[in-house]
Amino acid sequence: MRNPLNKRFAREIRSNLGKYLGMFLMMVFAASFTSGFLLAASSIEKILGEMSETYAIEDGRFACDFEPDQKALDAVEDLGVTLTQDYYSNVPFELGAADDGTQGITARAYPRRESVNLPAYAEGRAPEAANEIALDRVFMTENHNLSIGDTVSVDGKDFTICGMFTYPDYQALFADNSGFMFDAITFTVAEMSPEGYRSLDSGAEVYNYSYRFNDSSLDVVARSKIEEDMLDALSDNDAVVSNFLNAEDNQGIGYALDDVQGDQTMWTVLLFILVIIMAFVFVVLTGATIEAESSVIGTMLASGWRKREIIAHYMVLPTLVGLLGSSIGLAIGVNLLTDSMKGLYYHSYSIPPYHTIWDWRIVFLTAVVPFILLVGITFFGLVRKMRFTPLQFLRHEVSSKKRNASLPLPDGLSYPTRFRLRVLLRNASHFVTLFFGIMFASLLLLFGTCMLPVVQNYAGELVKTIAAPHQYVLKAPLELDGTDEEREMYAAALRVVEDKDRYEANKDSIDAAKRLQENKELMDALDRLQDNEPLMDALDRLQDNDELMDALDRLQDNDKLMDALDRLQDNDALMDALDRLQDNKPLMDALDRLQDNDALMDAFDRLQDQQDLLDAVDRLQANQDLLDAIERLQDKTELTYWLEWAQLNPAYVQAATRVAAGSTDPSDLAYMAALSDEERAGLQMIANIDAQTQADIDLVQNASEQSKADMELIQGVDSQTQADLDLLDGLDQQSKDDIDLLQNVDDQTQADIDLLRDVDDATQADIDLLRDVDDATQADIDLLRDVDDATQADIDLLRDVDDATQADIDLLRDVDDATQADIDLVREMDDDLLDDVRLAEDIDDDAHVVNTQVNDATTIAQTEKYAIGSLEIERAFGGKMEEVSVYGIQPNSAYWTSMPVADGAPIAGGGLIEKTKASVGSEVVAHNKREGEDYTISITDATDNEADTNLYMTLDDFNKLFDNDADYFNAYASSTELALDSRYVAQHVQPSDMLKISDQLESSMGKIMYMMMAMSVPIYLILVYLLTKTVIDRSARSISYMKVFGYQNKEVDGLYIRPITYWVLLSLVASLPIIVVLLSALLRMVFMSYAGNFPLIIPANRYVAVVVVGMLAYAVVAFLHVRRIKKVPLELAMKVQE
Amino acid sequence: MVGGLEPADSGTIRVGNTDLTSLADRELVEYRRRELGFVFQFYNLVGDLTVQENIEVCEYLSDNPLPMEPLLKSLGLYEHRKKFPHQISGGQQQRCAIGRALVKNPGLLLCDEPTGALDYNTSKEILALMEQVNREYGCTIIIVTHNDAIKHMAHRILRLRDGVLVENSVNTNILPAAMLEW
Repeated sequence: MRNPLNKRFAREIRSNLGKYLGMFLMMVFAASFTSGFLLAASSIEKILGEMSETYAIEDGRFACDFEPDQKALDAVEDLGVTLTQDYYSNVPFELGAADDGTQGITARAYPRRESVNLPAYAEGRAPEAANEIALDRVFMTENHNLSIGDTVSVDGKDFTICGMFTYPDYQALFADNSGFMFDAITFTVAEMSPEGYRSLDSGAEVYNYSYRFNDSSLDVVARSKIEEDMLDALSDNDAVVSNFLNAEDNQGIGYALDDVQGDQTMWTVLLFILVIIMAFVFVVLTGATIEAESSVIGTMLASGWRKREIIAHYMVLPTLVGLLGSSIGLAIGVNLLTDSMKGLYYHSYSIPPYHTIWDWRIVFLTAVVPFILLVGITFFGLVRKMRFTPLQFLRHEVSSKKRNASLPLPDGLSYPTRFRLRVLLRNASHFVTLFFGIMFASLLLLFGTCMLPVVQNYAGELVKTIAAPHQYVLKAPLELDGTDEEREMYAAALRVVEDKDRYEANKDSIDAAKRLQENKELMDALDRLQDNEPLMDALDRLQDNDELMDALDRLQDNDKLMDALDRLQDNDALMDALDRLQDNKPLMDALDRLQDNDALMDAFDRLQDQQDLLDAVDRLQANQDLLDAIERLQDKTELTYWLEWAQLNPAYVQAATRVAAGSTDPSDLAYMAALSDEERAGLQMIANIDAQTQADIDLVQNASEQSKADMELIQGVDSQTQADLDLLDGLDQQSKDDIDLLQNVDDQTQADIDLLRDVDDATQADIDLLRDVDDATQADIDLLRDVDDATQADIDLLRDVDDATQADIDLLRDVDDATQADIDLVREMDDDLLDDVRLAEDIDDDAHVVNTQVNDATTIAQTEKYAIGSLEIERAFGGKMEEVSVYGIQPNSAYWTSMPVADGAPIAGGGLIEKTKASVGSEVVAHNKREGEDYTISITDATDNEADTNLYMTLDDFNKLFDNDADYFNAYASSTELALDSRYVAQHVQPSDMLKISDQLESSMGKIMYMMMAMSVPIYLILVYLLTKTVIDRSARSISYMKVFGYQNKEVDGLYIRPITYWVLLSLVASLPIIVVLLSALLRMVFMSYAGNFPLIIPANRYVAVVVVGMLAYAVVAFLHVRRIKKVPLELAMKVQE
Repeated sequence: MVGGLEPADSGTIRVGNTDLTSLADRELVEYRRRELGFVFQFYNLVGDLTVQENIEVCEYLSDNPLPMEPLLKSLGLYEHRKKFPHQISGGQQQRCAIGRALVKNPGLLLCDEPTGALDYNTSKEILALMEQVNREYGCTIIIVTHNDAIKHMAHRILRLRDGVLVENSVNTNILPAAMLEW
């Protein structure tokens, strides 16, 4: 048959609906919230876990202070990693039309990422145009009211939002990995097209590289080894690493996952605590039932019921309530709450789009385990309660209340007080459980309410650790004080590196300049010549024509010659003539010889044109006898005349001849008579001719016709010609030969000769000079003369230089080809760039960089140099390492006024002592991650600031510790803002920056805090109700008696409700110290994985709030109890009772 | 001790062929379950079970229970079988308690002051019922009582004073319960 006791269940529930409903609701409440949360969190955890492959998350990154060269990068890649350039710029950002008053927003702009750390676009697309930008989803929609299509201002330029994305390495938007809190309010990542990115002022560009191990199966040890080698390789290649971060330590990658995992643990633990408390409530309530039914149970046991059957009976309802509560809670949580729970994370973290990933672990953790806990604890409680014998049950000896009630109370207490104490003592187990329940609810409430003050206090305390209004962390020591020359030098160096494109474009030239630099003489020459642009250009043009240049060189020294050449140069016709004649040496010599004999030459000239005549002279000249004859006859001009007359008048001559011979012939006489005296004398002359003359005349007369014609020609010449002929005739043989030569020239030559002959004396002198040159010189001259006009102009220019310049030119001309190539490159460079490069080259590499920005003397005087570094010290709990900032400050610092550091006496921040294994007076081992070294540091004192996890020492100690130069520093503390070269500024910290932490925490944790606070109130209500109701119920008969005795309801309330009220109040107040201890432990657990130490600060009003909320919740319960007491019937007192 | 609720300091207790002093706790439970019925001065009924259900609480324990309906009728509770304890009189509640003890059809019925909380008439009714039970069901009934009159209806009388047995006699002049007077 069915167990008849089963029929009790429905009736029991009906009669104790409040109790079971309360238990059920609490279970539903706990299971639903936890399961909803855990499913969302575990789904997010899986989504995060899948990101590594899907979005190609880097294995790590490093940034260099200055752009590393290819050699350094190659050296790193040789170690088995693949590097991806991942430069970014931190630039000012404005929200544009969506401005909500947020100030000081910084965007970290990346050019589109395409191989590592790929973006997940939640909406829109990647930027393509130069004016497009994509922004982080949390920044855009959770913290600001931005949407696609909006215009925002980045670095002063307008960009249109085209997409909303998340970067896998910025799941939590940490601007600085060492920061305690991410910041999605005043910080965002932005993706731009490469063009858009280039348009930004790259002054603050960070030279960041992502690396991925080529062998993804490497274990942590192997990876660490490679990472150490990478640092060494970079350092060996002069790359200054400013940041090295593997993915495990990157909060942007791991923070969200840690948070999700940590929260899951925390929620699960809270659920279990709640379930355990509920189980105790079950135990207490069931125990009360057993006490109430003690005699029935005794009877049943006596009748043969086994204890286990009875236990099973009393287990059914708690089991049922637990099962239903956890199942329904699970169903509600999984189906209805997951979405809002995921919001807790999506509100804070940039995570790819959500999808629920089912996990049976959730059922196990939120339904199975709580159920088992609940049933298990209730079972053990019941077994314990059932340990009595049947007779003890029959005799009602199972209740502790009787034992407690019989405790002696101090004398002198008033009756009501004693009564109330008895009420408390009788129900001690209820009140003890109530105490713990209240404590738990208060813990939740306080945890929720004090989280924010804790963080605000932390931020406030952190503000105190920023000793100066402005602290600048530098990438390299940067001296504020310097001469103008130094400033100019470093400004030049800055321009060279900051104007990267220009620098890149001129890289070869700059390298050339660097090579030339070593040859100072040459560079000086180049410098001097540089400004004479036309000269240099000329030199350039001529340079390649070595032959010409050599010729020029040789001629150069012969100024006279060159001058001559110069003067003649312009007379092309002349020069050409000279050229043509030049080769005809005999002719020229002839010309030379004749040249001075102007009369002759003129004669020659004049005769030249009378070729016939000259030919005639020539032909006759060959007939010497004839010529002699002619010559002899020539002197006898009268005779010649009369001979010619006789030839023309032969009749007279014949008549005269005959008369002379004696003829008296009348005709002859007549002829004779006709003659004039002159003619007679002439005839007489002819008659008297000597034999020689006669011979000559005969010769002439007998000359050939040609000769006759010649003679006739010659004879016919005018007097000038005759004079000329005479002149020529009178020449010596050499001259005659010359003339022959000249005579035989062709027309052109003749023209040339004419030309040459017309030159003035000076010209002639020049010609003479030129003509005297040796062959080599002549060759040179020829070469020079062949140049075109431009070249000639160049030559002219070159020839005009002074000696010094010439020396320079010579120097330049002597360089080898490589040097020449360098010079050419350098000459093509912009002068300012070259100047910059050369200035930069003059910088002493070992000296500190001098700030190019000017700060006045007063400003400089109030600054203080210090150094900051980073070491790791093991945490006191959890075994992980805490990254500690090490400050090397000035003894008697004007800023760290309460920090009396002295050499060899480092001081630890109060938080450092709390968080790590460090303690005052002891030595602590600090690990230098970059160098892979461990240092032992003695802590001599500590500050009071528990948020301060820094380690302070003198700058000297710092430099010794880190093996720096004695004058090393890398930061300035200043009371006013400094003008610094942005290139050297790694970080500008102001105290107010620390407050951003609390803003972000409020934004991202606010919901969880409110949820905790909201959870605590129902727990208060239900627990207080359940546990105090039983007290009233089991006292019902007594209450009835009191009423029978004549007590008013109010008085009865005073006896029963007041002790409960006192107890609740006492529980609320007395549990607070315990809560503070628990909360410290809880917060320590929650914040253990966070950097920094969080002093637990609970403002007094939060304690008050806990008590007030607790009391308000209790007031509701008390009201119900007052009603219950009022309803207790008088007849109850009359009923049969053992 | 006969009920197996209290161990004996010395000696043996034999019920039928069973030596109770040699039984382990579990065996004692089985013994009670199989052999015994208990009736107490206070009825110890389960408040949220009806008269019949309260009887069923022990019926459930027996392999060979008495039929419910005749039992209820013989107890005079048939009309009240669906009432809860607080809805019936003390006598009826004790009847119910007796029914609960009897329903297992036990060999031995142990009654601890079964009339201690009852008035005269009701007490006589209950004693008559026991007489009837003894006759009808043949079970041995041991009644513990301060009421000297009741000994007259018993077959054997054992008198205890300050825990010491002072009389052990066989009643040769058995009176019906209805004739008992006190």
